[in-house]
Amino acid sequence: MARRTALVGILALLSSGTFARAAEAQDVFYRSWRWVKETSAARAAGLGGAMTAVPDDASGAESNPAALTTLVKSELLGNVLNRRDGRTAEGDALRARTGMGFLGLGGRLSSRWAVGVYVVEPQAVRIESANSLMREGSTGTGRVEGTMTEAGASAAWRPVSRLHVGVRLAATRLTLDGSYRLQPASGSSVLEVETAGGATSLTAGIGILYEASPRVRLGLARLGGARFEIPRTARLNGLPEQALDGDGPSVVREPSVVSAGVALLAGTRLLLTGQLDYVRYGEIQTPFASLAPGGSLPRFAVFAWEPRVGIELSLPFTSMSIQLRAGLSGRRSAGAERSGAAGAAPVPTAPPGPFLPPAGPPRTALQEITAALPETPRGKETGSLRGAVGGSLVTAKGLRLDLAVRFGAEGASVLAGTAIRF
Amino acid sequence: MACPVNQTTTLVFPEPLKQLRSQSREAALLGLSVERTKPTGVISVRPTTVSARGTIEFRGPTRVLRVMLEATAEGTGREVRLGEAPSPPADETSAPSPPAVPPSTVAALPPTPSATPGPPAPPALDLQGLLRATPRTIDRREGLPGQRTMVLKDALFGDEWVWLRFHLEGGALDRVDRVWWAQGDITTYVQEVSGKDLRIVVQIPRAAVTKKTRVSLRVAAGPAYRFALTPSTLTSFFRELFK
Repeated sequence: MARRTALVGILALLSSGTFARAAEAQDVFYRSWRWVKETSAARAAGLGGAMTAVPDDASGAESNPAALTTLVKSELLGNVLNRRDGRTAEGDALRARTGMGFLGLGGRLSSRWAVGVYVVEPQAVRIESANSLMREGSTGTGRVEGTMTEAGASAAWRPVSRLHVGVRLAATRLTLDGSYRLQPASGSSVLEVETAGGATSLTAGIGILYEASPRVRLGLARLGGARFEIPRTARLNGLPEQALDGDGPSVVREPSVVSAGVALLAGTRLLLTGQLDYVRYGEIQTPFASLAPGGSLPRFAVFAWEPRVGIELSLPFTSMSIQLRAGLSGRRSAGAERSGAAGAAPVPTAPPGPFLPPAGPPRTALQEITAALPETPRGKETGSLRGAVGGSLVTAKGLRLDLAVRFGAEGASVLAGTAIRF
Repeated sequence: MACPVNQTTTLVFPEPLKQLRSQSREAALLGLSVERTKPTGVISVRPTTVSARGTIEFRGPTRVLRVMLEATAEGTGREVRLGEAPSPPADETSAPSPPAVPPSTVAALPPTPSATPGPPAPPALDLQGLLRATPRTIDRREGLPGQRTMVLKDALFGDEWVWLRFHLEGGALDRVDRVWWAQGDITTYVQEVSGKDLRIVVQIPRAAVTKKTRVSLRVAAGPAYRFALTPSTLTSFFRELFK
């Protein structure tokens, strides 16, 4: 019975795969993988990603499709995104990568209708695991390389002069490639986890933008998350007969996001924007609860509130204009709500009870591995703050050159691109 | 025609005034009065309330003109000359019109507030043709970030002329001091304040308008705006791209 309980625990541990922050916390393999809602378009990045209520930008095709009918001109934009080296909160290394950031086209069809298409790479990361979280002098090394690419089409409608409504359909592809090897200090058992493959998922989103006054815009968007099944094997001592999850696919879920924002046009030169995201990281079923007395398995909805603010100053000259912008984006600690029960529960980053294999010699391979797993890998979960600065050079011919730099938690990133308005 | 409240706008007709028609209530609110009937009809308008509006019909020996008057909260009084010689015969219009000198006119005094003797009169605005023109919505916006936005609302296509209607948003205190295109300066335009905006109507000869026509307007001590005469929509772009 004890062995069965431990097996349930580690199975859930290794195959939960929600990648939710709290869920990640209990998965040594994916512990540093995180869904970061960071925009990949340069102007939006410079504004800290607070774009839900910002009008007249084709990147709205991704962030709030309703904004498309506010486009003054058709716009084609694209940029590259260079992510610098960094380190996650758990101490794992993030390797530098350069990839496609955002490519999009948007424009009005008439005074009431507008469309947009885009391709974006919202996640591209290579994580190399550090060994500091292991217990009992065990060694755990591995890497995860993941890229998510999203291609979408959006349409917007302006039923009345002040109201804009939009929808978005997107195909999201996640490719993962990773391996992990965990070896306890004592005994000869080895846990080997391999992930390789890709999956595509369809998602939908809706958005509203309301012109409360000539200077104030209010935005609301709900962007659905995607669900992927990625092949993964987790074997003890490399033996197929000791596969922990039956060598089947594991489910990976991208969180859905609800954003509410406001944009204030202070005169012709200043734009202030703010936004609050409610990120529903996913629903997890903590494996440790099965060890609790009574054996109940409560489910936790993991979420986070993520505020964003941005400012943009436009300085016009005779034949060009310079725009300077800055933004901040924050992430508070994830919270968790226990479904079906009143009140909030703490983030399940630590097992409620002692997470130790049952006593009794000799220890099996599973027990040896279980004993080596980290106790509370996300104990220092406190949220993070990222800053961004950027600028654009806009010519009278309709060409815009964009540059943005993000910095703060987990390393910097640089975005450079261009937009043509016609 | 916009007539500022508590300001006197003078309308000068091209012929002696034989009859002036208007509704008495509208005429009272607009403060309408006939200043003289010969040698040309002159009417003054001095609205007392912004809600005043109405249409007057001027009848002369050979011409009939209808003008819609509307009171505005802002602006200054001015003198406007309406009408002049009749259009040339049909067989003469087959020849291309010189762009800057219209063959027939119903002139309005533009940018400068009052007419002064000496310099030649600016080309006239063909108000009669304007009455028969067909509007085509454009809604093209121009302006760099940080500048006021100028909107080309629509184009009114008449038989001989095209009238372009612009709004300079929040530009009530600004004035357009130059309008030009590939053929040179355009001097036939009027501008007036409308609330917080500045409205500009530019008249160009229809025969010279092509898909590549661009019209530029410069705001005094401010930026210049260059407009294509097509909507800035994807459909318009692709239609022209694949033609």
